[in-house]
Order: sequence, then C-alpha cells, then structure tokens
Amino acid sequence: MGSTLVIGIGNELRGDDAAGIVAARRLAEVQPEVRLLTVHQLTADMAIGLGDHDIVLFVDADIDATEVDCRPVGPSFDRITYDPHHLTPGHLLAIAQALGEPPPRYAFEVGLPACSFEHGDPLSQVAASGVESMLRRVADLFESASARA
Amino acid sequence: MDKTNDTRTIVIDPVTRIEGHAKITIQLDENGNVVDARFHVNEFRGFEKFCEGRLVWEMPGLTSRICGICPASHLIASAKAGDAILAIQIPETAELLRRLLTLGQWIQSHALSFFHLSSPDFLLGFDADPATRNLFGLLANNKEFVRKGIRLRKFGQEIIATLGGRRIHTPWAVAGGVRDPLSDDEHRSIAVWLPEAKATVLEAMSTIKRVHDKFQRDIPNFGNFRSMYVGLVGEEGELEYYGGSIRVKDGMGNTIAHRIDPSDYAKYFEEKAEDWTYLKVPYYKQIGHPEGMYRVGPLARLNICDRIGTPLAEAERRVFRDLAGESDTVNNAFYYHYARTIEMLFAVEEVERLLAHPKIQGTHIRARAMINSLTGVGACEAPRGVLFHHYQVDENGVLQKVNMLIATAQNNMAMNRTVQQLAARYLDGKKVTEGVLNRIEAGIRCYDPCLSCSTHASGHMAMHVQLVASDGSVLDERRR
Repeated sequence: MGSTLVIGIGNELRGDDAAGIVAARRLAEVQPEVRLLTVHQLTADMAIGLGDHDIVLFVDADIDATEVDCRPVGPSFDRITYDPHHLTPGHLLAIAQALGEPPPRYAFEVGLPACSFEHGDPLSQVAASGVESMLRRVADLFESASARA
Repeated sequence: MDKTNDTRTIVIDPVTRIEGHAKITIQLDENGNVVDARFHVNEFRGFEKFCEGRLVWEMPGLTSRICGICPASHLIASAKAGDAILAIQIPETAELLRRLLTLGQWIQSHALSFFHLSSPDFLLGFDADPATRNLFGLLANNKEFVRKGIRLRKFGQEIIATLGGRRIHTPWAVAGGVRDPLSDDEHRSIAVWLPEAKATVLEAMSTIKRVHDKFQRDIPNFGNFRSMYVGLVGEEGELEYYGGSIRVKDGMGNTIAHRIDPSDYAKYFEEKAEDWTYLKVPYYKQIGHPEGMYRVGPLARLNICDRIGTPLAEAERRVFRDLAGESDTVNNAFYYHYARTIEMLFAVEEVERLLAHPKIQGTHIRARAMINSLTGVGACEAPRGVLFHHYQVDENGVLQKVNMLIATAQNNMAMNRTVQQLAARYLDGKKVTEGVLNRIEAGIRCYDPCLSCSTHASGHMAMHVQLVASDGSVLDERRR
C-alpha cells in the first residue's frame, strides 16, 4: 500500500460532529504511516496536494448513516455553489481536477453514524461504536488496496 | 423594516460572498430617490458576555474561536490584553513570532478576499451570470490565476499552522508570550514559499491595476466619499500591524490625532447600538455620531502611514498615493482591493525580514507573572482593520467585563454610506436588476466584512432583494 492521507472533518465542540476527527486520530494511532489532517470543513486549498497520496480518506459524521458507510468518491461539481463552508469531497476532487492536479489513486468518503450534536457533549454510543467499526472497515480497505497494488 | 409615509424600501437579503449573514435595505422617497441605506446584521453570538467569568489565561484560546477567517488576530489581541493584565514585557522572540503569525493571518485573509471573493467580479464582470461568477467559474476562465490564489492563501495558512499547530483556532499565543519556538525545519518550511508568494502577489497587483482601467466608469461610485481613517502606525509613522500607536486622519489627509496609546481607545471611540442591526456603530467620539464616521483596514492603513518599511511595498504605496489627487487621501473604497495587494506584498517581504532576524529562533518565548493590573487592552491590526480586546478582571484573573472593538463594526457607517452611494447611482427606483445587486454587493465586499467577528455570525447565504413602496406593498422582489 502506498501513502495514505486521512482527513478527519468536524467540530470537536459539537458532540458527534467530532466523530470524523476522533476516528481519523484513532486511525493514525493504529496505522502510524498514515498522514493525518483534521479540519472543521474542507477548503479549496486542500485540493492542492491530494495527488501526493495513493489513498485519501475523507472521514466525517453523517446524520443519515445507520452504519459506517465507506464508498469511493470521484470529482463532482454536483450542486456546487460558491460557499466556502460547504465543499464536499467530490467538490474538492473536482477542483483538483480543474486545476490540473494529479488525483489520488483511490479516494473514499467515510460516513460515520451520528445522532447528537449538542455543544460540549462527548460522542454518543452510536458514534463511538461507529468509530470502532470504521477502524475495522478501513483495515480491510487497506488490505484490499495492498492486494490490488 | 423602517417605513414612513413618503418612502419605499428595497431589501437585499442576504448579501453573498462575505463572511457572515446580512441584508441590505435601501429606502427611497416617493420620487424614487435614495434617502438612506442600511446594512443589517441579523446574527448575534455574544462572546463579550459569555467570556465573563472565565480566566484571563483562557481568553486567547476562547476568542480565537470567534472567527474561522481571522482567529490569529483575535488570538494576538487577546494575548496582548493578557500581557497588559500581567503587566509583563514578553521576550523579544515571542514578539517576533507573534508578528510572524499576524502576517500569516494577513496573507491568508487578504488572499481569500482578493482571489476567492472579489476576483470573480473583477475578472468575469459585475454583469456576469451569478451562477458562474465565483471561484469555480474562474477555474474555467483562468485556471492558473485561481491556482496561484489558492496557493497564496495556503502559504498564509501554513505560517499559522506551522507556528500554532493548526490552521485555525490555535491557542498558541498566551499571556506572556507564545507556547512553542520555531524549529529549523519549520523555519525552512515557511521560507521555501517566499519566491512563489512574492510572484503571486505581484501578479495580483498587476491584475488589480488592469481592473482599475476596465471599471473606470463604475469605480467613482464605490464608496467614494471623505471619511476619517484610523489605524496603528509605528514610531516613525510607518505601517504597523502589531505594536505602535493609533493615528487618526481625516479625508483631506490632515492628522486629527496621533500617538494615541491603544489602551486609551475608549477615550476616542464610542460604540453606538442601533435597533435595526446587531453590528454596533462605532464613531470618533470627539466629533460625534454620525459625523465621526471613520474607516479602518487596508485603505485606512495606507492612508494614515507615512511609509512602509519594506522596499517593494513602499514603492507601490507611492503609486497608490497618486490616486489621492488634491485631497492627499485615497477616499474611494474600491481601492481597498489595491491596498490589500500592497499589504500582501508588504507581508511577504516582512515575513522574509523576520525569518532573517537573528532572534526568530530563540527559545526564551514566555514570561510569567501573576495578576498585576485589573484591566488590560490588547490591540493589533487584523486584516480588516485595527482590533481591540479590552478586559477587566478581579484579583484572581477572572473576567468581569469584556469589550471587543472589531474592524468590521468600525467600517459599519462607511459600508452603509457606500451602499447608499451605489444605490443612488444605479437604481431606477422601480426595478431591482442583477446589475444593481451585483454592484451593491461588490461595494460591501470592498470592505471584506467579517460578520462572524463583529457580531458573530456564520454560515451560508443566498440573496433576497425587496422593493417596498411607501405604503408597505412590495413593488419588486428577487431571490438568488
């Protein structure tokens, strides 16, 4: 497996919104070769340099997910407006593509179950379980990517 | 909404491509003439109140949360207020590093304003389709320009992340200094960006000069009026961004006040509350409201300073001052953009100078003390203008009162006046056209307002414009 960038997205002050960040940090602990980036939101500058990595994981809380949802993501300008607060992984990859940036070999969007976003709350049981489940899913993913490499 | 029997009102709600939520109403008389304009800010976050009861040592970390765009400026102003409460002289290396962080903040914020928010107007035109008149529309039009702008902003963010450990909301500066020194690797990682950053800023500068030619018919209507200008200057009147004293000039270039200690700001500036906006209305106290209207930020800083301490930026400042004409002051808000590019150039040159300073990698970075003063004011030049944090504490350092005078608020009256001027020039009194809306929004964008800071809003905006007759009926309405 080549280099991996894991981007944890969320707000640690808002309950389950921290799930993506917590999961990304856990992943970086168990897979020390992974490069970790934690952000509140995706911004256009992050489009530059994505292609330096073979695998990019965008990990975020997803209020609609009932279990960990790990799916490939590609460039998409779908429903893009100029709103710097609402870029999706697809938008970011599309910006990279439009800029002529090399894409990462694999990009995945990982949605973690989340149900509570109150100020100051810890992760709910649902989100905490999702984090553990995500670690197993990503380990499988890495194994699969290594086998294909 | 304010109505009288002989007026009509146009509402633009919300305003787009600024940081925060706002709407604009334009009040017309029965003949369709613009009689007033109001830039309403509808959001409230209340940091000043809920910081009461917290410890002064916590304040830099807390107040950096005010804003995702200029958290480093709040961090620095807060840390400086803390320094004053500890009555402490911070180590020289700590000041150099705080200065470096402030410059990173200027670069990333100015690059965002210039390349991401305003250049779509410049390069695609005020009348271009709003669906594509944005950064992504520019991607199809000028990919390399966008790439350079994104990378310039990234440079500013890298400075902040390198020093503070993260790009936004770092708690790295503290009362008494900073938390971490600058390592060899970190020093190199910043320095390596400098040639590219300088080239990009110079390209931005040449772009805005072409824009001046392209929009020479529009520009005279963009907030073109005399006002006072306020900001920090250094000991010799040079452009300052971290220390120095306050200078006040009028719209003719006369110095009204100078060498004001920032801790005395409250003697000179008053904040008026209005019932139609959460954004306060500061004014120069000695002249009163509303005549005491003043502007802050890049245009003000370049108007009040005598020189810039770096060669390329100083050469460009002289060119900028040629725009002033007889008044000796550049009074047109459209030239905020040009001033912003000059400040970006200064910031890149100044980063280079700081990195070459023999003490920039010193390891004595924090002084410690207990509470020695029950009040403290911290000031610095945030990207949008001079920023004040004013704290009162008890003997244990618990905050009793907090006041923050924010740049965007200080430009509030001037933004209203700018909208009024643009509306008077472009409105026909009956129809709200795209061209009118675009120009009014672009007029607001000159000031690069950050409502997250000033009242404390955040989030997504669309646009809603309403034309209301004197009897309250809606004559015209558009949404975007």
